[in-house]
Amino acid sequence: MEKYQIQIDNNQKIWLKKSFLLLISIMFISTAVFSQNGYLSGSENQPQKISGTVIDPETGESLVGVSVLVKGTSQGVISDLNGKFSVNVTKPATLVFSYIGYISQDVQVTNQNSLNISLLQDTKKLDEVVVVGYGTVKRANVVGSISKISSNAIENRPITRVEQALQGQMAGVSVRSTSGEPGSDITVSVRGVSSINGISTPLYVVDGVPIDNLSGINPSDIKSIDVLKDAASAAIYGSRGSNGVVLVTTKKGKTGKPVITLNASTAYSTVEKKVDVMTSDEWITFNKKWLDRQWVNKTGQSASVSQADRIAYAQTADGKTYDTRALLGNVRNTYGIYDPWWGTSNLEAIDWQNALFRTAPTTDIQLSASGATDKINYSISGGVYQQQGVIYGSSYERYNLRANIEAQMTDRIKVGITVAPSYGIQKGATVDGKDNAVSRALTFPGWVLAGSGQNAGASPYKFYDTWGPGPNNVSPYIQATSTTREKPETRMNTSLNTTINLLKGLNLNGLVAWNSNTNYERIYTPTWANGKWDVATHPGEYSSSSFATLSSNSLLYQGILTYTKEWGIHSIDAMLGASQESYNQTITNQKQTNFSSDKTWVFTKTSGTTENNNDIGYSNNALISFFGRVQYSLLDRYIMTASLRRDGSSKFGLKNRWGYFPSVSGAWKINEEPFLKDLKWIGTAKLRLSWGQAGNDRIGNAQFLSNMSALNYVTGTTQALTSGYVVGNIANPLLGWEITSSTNIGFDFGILKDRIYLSADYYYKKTDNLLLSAPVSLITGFTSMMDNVGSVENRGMEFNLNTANIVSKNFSWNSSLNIYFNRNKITSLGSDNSDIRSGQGNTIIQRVGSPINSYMLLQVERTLLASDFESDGVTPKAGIAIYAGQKAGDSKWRDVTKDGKITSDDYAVVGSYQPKFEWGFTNTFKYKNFDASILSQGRVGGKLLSIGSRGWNRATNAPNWGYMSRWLYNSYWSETDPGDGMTPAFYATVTGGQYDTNWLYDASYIRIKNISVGYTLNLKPNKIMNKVHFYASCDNVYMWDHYSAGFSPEAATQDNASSDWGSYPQAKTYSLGVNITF
Amino acid sequence: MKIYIYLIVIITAALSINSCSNAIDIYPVENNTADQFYSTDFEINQAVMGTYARLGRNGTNTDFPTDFYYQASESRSDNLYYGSLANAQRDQIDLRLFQVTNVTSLNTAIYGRLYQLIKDANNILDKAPVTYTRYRAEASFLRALAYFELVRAYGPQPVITTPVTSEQAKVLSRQPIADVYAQIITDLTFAGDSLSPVYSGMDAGRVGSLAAKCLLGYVYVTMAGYPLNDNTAYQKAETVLSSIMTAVKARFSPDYSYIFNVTKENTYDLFSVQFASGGNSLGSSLAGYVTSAGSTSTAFPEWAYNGYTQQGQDFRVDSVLVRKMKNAGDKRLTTSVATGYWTKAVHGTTKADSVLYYSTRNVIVKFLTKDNTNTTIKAWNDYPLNFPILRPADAYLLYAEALVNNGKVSDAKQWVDAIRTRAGLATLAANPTMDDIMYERRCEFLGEGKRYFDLVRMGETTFVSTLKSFSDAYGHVSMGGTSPTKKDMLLPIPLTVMNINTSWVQNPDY
Repeated sequence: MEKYQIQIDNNQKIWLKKSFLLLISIMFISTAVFSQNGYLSGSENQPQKISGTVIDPETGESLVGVSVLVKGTSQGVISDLNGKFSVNVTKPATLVFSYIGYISQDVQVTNQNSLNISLLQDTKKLDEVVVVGYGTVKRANVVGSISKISSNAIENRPITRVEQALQGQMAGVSVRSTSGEPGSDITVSVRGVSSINGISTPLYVVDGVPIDNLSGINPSDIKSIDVLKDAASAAIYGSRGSNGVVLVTTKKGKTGKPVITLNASTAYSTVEKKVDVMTSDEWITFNKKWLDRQWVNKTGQSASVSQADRIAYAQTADGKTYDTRALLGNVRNTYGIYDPWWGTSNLEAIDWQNALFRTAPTTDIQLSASGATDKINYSISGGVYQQQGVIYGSSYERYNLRANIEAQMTDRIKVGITVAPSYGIQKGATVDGKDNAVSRALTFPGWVLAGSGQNAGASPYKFYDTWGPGPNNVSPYIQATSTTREKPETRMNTSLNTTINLLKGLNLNGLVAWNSNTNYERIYTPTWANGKWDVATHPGEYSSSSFATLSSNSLLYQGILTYTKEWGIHSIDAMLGASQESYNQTITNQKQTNFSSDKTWVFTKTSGTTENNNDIGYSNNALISFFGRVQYSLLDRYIMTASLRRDGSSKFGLKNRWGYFPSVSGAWKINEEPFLKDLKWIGTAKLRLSWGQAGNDRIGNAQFLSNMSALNYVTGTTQALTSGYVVGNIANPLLGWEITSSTNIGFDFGILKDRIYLSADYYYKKTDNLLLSAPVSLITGFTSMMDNVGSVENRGMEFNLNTANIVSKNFSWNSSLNIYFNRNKITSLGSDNSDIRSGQGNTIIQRVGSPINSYMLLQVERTLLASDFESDGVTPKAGIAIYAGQKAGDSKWRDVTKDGKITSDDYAVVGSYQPKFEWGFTNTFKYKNFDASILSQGRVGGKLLSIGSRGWNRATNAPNWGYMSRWLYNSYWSETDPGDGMTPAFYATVTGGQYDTNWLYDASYIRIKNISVGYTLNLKPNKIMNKVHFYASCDNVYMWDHYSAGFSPEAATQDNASSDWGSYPQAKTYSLGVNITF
Repeated sequence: MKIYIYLIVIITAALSINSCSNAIDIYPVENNTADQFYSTDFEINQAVMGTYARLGRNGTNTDFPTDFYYQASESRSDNLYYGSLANAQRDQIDLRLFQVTNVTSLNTAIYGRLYQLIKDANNILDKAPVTYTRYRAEASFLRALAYFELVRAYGPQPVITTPVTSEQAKVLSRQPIADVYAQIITDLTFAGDSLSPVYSGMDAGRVGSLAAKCLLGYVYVTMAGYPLNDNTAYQKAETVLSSIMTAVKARFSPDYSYIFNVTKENTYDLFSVQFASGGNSLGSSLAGYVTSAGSTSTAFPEWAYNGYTQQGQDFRVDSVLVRKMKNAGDKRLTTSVATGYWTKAVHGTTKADSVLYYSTRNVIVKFLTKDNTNTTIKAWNDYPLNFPILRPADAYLLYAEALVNNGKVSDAKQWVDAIRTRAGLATLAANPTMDDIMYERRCEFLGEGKRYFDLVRMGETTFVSTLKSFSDAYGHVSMGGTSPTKKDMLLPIPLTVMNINTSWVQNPDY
């Protein structure tokens, strides 16, 4: 082993030692080994000193940290802060100068003692490295379909989560911020949705380690994100690759002097848009209009009859005296009586959206230090991120640390370690969904009892009674702020990575990774904020406190053998590996209500009088995999790749536990052909073809077994709980892998030195053996069974056009445009292809021939008019199909079955959320030290069902609640006031009871996602600061859309993520930041 | 040093290839797969309890009496009408207004739940050794009860007596109702022969042979009417009921109100669905459905537990019947119906207070616990009162009906008179007619879900004319309802079943 002795300077020695300490202590091996460091020794015979400077000829600046290696030896140094180096060599020798981002240079040294070297920048994009599963390839040699973004695309943006960085940046990758809640999850899908019951999110892999969620990853630690889109690329992650794979690579130290950067920004967010519901005054106008109608219908008298006359009439008719507001309340609907308080100081106006939303600050501070020698590289970072949400009470904070250290321990052995703990805490009541704060902000009229303001409903105030929603409601502001909800999450991502160079070109890599996630969620709701605080017999009666914990661990062992060899016109790149992943989680859940006081959320088992939950749960699963890949390239022109993976999952029945996932792909670099080589204007011309299969096992554990479920009963004279069990689900020992096969044809074409570069892909992706909770006949005693039935296909096209529009010394302008089309269709479902319906009112349907999660609704054609009925007003004229009980003012629905009447059979598939196409367009500009970028993105086509707007956008006959202003201005009131012909009468209760296209909106939008400008101040080296970059940025700058019933056309959160129910609005965020390099 | 480096490498590498295929043999820590179950007396008993529990909340918000006996049966009869139309609970509106379809989810839930019960009973009968006679008899009784409700509500059904896979279920066909009744009779005969008359103490609430035989009598009486019109059935009913009448008499409550008194449960009944409050999902949801309520302003009797939102609609009891019972001094009325109530615990008594806080309406209250301080009730669906499916009055009136139809009118009188006397009414002046018996049934079982099927078994003409005139009288059609027709004598088979059992023919006119 003597010949592998290395020479390193003192500085490096210290670093090496430090890293070693860290490594070893983690491996639980005694630090005593450091007493012997005989491996650092030696010098060669009679060396001569050569020194010089390395510069970049374009800028004239000296280059720091250039690696200078004596060819054929392991001797080397790096250039210092002034670009100077000196090395001892035995002449004659060859020095190799290499530097990341520059073209390497070999320099012969014969008798000179000093050298001045100019290294040229390597501007060729194709030498960029692309991360693939278990390895990397050069961009030029990519055969599949892989999209990549680098850190510079996100540096200037106020990004909370890594996924946000992907939106609008990659063709084929759909990213939706469904909720604007700070710290909330973001929906990512790659090339359409391919699973109905299995999880459809892509597999996330951070530095080679699969993780379940990117929430603990600090965006500023990221170097690049690569998304494997086609199955051939993803097949190497066979088991879970069918929904695409997102590979995140974190920053490593770069050769050179240590770089310390500080990135700090501060931001302010406001709500992106508001929903047009009735203002306070409009609401009274609306109510008067409705009450006038009641009066006219009841008495046949004119609507202009005064309140006093109406009361007199009512008293006479009922033989009673109505002399108080409360007594009038009892007959308000019958005789159309107005609230005596309207127009008085007993009521005060309020805009609930303004009361709930705020301007919220965010601060972000990130500090990192990185550096490298040729023996060790390190990157250490820490960050603090604090964000408040645009809804009162909501916030998110994250604290991150990450250390990536990699040491070349001997010439043959490299060891790397990553330790990345993070702590995030999400706060704020759940405001999305039915009857929660966001929807309440739209359904409460803009009036409260004077003096209560935003605190209406909470002690000591009551809510607007009788003429309003009722005294026992509480304001959305109170809903959002009185409930304490906290969800702290501690994540620990660690990995240890060893690579041994066995022979030339042959490497063995071992990886052990441990990820853990511990979180809890606690929720406390006090009695004072309960609408019934006034009837509570003691202060804590309606209080509830819950505490749920989840603790999970995943462990990965992985071994990989790689081999690369080039000979003549051939080159080969092979990989063989095995891995085992195991996962376990423990959950607990406790909840009590009705406490003896309203003072605290902490409880013991005797504090509350009602114990709602007290559960413990445990589950685990495991996956074993064997995989291999061979890439062969001939003449660097024809490239072939084949891979095979075999996976065994504990989630499946014994018979179908193991699955094989093969792929083959090829690329032809046409521009390397002799007949094109002379055409200088062609930079790149490459054809890519691939086919592969990937799987999905992401369903619950042990679903192949039939399990007993507890179902208790009461027996005995004491009426005691007696434990009972029933068979809970049908066993399916044949349950196995869901498999997606995909074919991809791609073409890359670059001209004018690749200044115009187009990538186009067409794919066809078919998912078979769908993991489906398929309906079974109810006569079995079950409703569904987890089975491998059905198929879904996705086909689409993706275009990515990158252009360098202007490139000059002082000014540059680059554009990147991506457009992608995806068509999703269910091609079979179970053995009988029967529909599967779900969601509120069964409005979501899975049907053969339609996209996944299509909407099933009655179709509004127009509003029924009196002229559609005979003179009795209830019998429809010939040819007019109505639903039983409909009258003028109800919606006229399409008679799909053409049977002359409207029934539940007339519900039809009316579209889905899936768009016709999505696009993203980025422009970046550089002028001297200024830089700017603008990102716009959008979607065309697709519908969104605003199911929650049943609350504020429905005919209900209950005008005491709040509604969208269309119900005042556009709805049918009478034959002479028929509205816009599409909005039914507010009193049309038959219409209000069904689900129709009144709640279906166009989900297209165009959004200026981000605009940012920056200025870089270059300082002279050796000062404290090296470079300062200032920037200002705005996210969600402006949006054009048609979604009027909710806050965001991206807010498909309910019912299989396809409809919206008052989701947390998106924020428009202005930020200012500075990035300092020391 | 190098040795240590290699040690690290070897450890890492060794861990890396530590793949062992046993690692993926993972079974749930709950250790509760169906294959392992049914192995001991204790477990079989648990399986029986689970089967009974299908009649309770069944892991959902509502129990079987609420879904079936109240929403699908009582509220469709001529006992209840809509005071005003609610906007929520559209399924119940569709049922009441005779607009139920094959996708009405409440209908689907009822159908599914009955087959869940049959499946669980079949599992017990398939897996429990024959020596476990009592458990097998209980399972047989529960299966017979489920099939009885199915055949009455849905017509022809496949007779399934062993666990079936989804593939097997697909090819089963709808068998004639006579086949279904044959199986019901077999099951009830077995249960009647195998069980003790009644169980008490720790086993109170579990079915005994009195209940099995009473149900068999009910089955025969039903078979005698529409649609089977089996003219031998009344004789069979008389035979089976006569054998239990002495024992039944011993459980006949001296006071009608005791039957619905939570402190006297399992004393004056034959078989009841057992409920208990306490927030363990074992309470009854029925009370939450019997009176109307808004989501935040609760119009609810002050003497009832009102801690939670009620789910009911504005259902009111036929005012003609109420008047008739009131005029007759029928003591059952006050137990079964409130004609008005204060909606607030603290209220004055002036006229103005009554305008504000007194609600005049006829609502079913027999299932409400008259105790607004009961803190064991934790939710609107956590009421403690058991729901009687069979009680001595059933046996009395079924037996009387069989006797009348078997020409033994004078023997029948004592049983009808016993019912009337307890209700505070005079004994019948003459021997009972079928009309007398039907009237007593209507008053006796008001709110208990029996009236609707009484109308069905009286035949199409009576069914349609009674319900149509009732519906017209209360303006249900003008509320958007449909007039009842012959089709409403059955409910539709759910679409999800029709989609899979493709050979099935839907009930007429659905």
